[in-house]
Amino acid sequence: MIRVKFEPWIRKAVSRIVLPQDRIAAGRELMDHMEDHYQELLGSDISPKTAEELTVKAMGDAEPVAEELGLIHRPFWGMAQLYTGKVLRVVACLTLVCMGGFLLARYFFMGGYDFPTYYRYDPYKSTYAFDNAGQMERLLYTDPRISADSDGYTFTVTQTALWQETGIDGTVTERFYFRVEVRNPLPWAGHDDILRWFWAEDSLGNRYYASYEKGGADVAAIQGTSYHTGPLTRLHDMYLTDYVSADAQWLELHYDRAGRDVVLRIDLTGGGAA
Amino acid sequence: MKKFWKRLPVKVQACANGVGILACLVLIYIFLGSPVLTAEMAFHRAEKANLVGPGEVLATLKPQGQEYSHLVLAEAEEGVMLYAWDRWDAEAREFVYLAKDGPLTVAAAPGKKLLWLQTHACLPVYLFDDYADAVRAELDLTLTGEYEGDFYHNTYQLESNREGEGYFAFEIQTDSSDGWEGQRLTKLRNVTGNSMADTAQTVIHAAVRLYDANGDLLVDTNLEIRSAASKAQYK
Repeated sequence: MIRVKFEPWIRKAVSRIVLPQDRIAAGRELMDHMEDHYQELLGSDISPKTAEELTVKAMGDAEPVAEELGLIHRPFWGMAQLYTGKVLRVVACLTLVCMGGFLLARYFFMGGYDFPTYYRYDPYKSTYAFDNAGQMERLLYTDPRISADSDGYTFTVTQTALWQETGIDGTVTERFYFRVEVRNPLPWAGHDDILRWFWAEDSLGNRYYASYEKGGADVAAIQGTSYHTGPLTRLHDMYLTDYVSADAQWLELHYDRAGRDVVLRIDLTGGGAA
Repeated sequence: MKKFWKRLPVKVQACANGVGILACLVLIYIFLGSPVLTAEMAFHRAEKANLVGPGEVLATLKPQGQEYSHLVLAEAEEGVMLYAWDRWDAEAREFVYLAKDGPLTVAAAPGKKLLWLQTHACLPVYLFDDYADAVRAELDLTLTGEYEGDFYHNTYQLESNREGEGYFAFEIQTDSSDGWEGQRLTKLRNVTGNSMADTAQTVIHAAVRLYDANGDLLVDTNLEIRSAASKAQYK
């Protein structure tokens, strides 16, 4: 039964309670208490309308009750849950906006991530090619997947390929390609050209200088380009100039600046033929 | 899902909201490109990316006439580092690491500005030293070589008072309209920086004199400044 005169008093009495669930619970309790008093008065031969008025009068002024209830129902965790919930909704919306902006910038304006493209032939997908300069044949292909770690970065040699190029004048040269994927779990830990400081040597003692150690001289060196292939990865598409390791068993990539010692050994004897 | 959430204690809900807020803030930071607030933060990040360090920052300078806003000078046990950083221009950023050959190391400020196109080229040069008592330095840099058939032999006499611990800062300013001087200074920059230019045969001679607070000569020595290519090929 709805006691019309009870509701305004109860609404005022619970108005200082912060949490909605606490307001509802306290309101129900007060309603039960007033209902009990109302039923008692009805048993004394008083009309229902008068009993309602007397019950509200017996509860007294709602203002001090509201103040008292407001002080009691102020739990820390309840407040924390209420306000963190509101903040989370706002921050989650902001996250979606930022994610949209990131995806738009990366895929619409920047055309996505980079991958290697080749002018004459893809050393890893092709096995044979020819053009005006001569013909090219792949002699060896491997996917060694050998890794080394330093400073939070993981360097992995993912693919290697050895090609023989025969020029139209009959000269034969060999070119060794390899790819190194560099990964770091932190999205802000990018880098551009660290592979330019890697040098190499083979089992015969031949040395290939790092890109930055070539200095314009006519020496065998590592050359290549790096590509930003994903949010956490860079791919270094490298090759050796003046390849002289045809009879070597292995080739080692080295990084040894500033006390580091990163070594990646590539087996030159294994792997399938072209 | 909603029923499950409502059954959780209020404390757990509040903590879960907190974790969610932190996760969202991290994602926002990543989606905004993980910006750094200061040049020093950018330097430490670049240090790790270049597999060197950890180094101690000696100074963060704002060199004039360069394409970047800040230059961080730092020193580690085995080398010195220079990091050119610009908050907005990623292309202008460059990290240089030089292995130490002794207590004195000379390095030109990195940069990609084409010095030979500048009528007023300005190249900051730094001398990293281990002499705490030295308050004044004189540096004579001699550049020799050949450019387009003409041989040159230029000596730049520089001097500086100590501005910060661990280094002296100099500046080479040129006022040439023919670009040749810019070419020579570019050579100095290439020798001490990351470059695939023709530096394997280049040796730059430097005479260094350091003075203490009384004006007494502390150090009087000659250095050979060689590029990474020169050091690797001519050990």
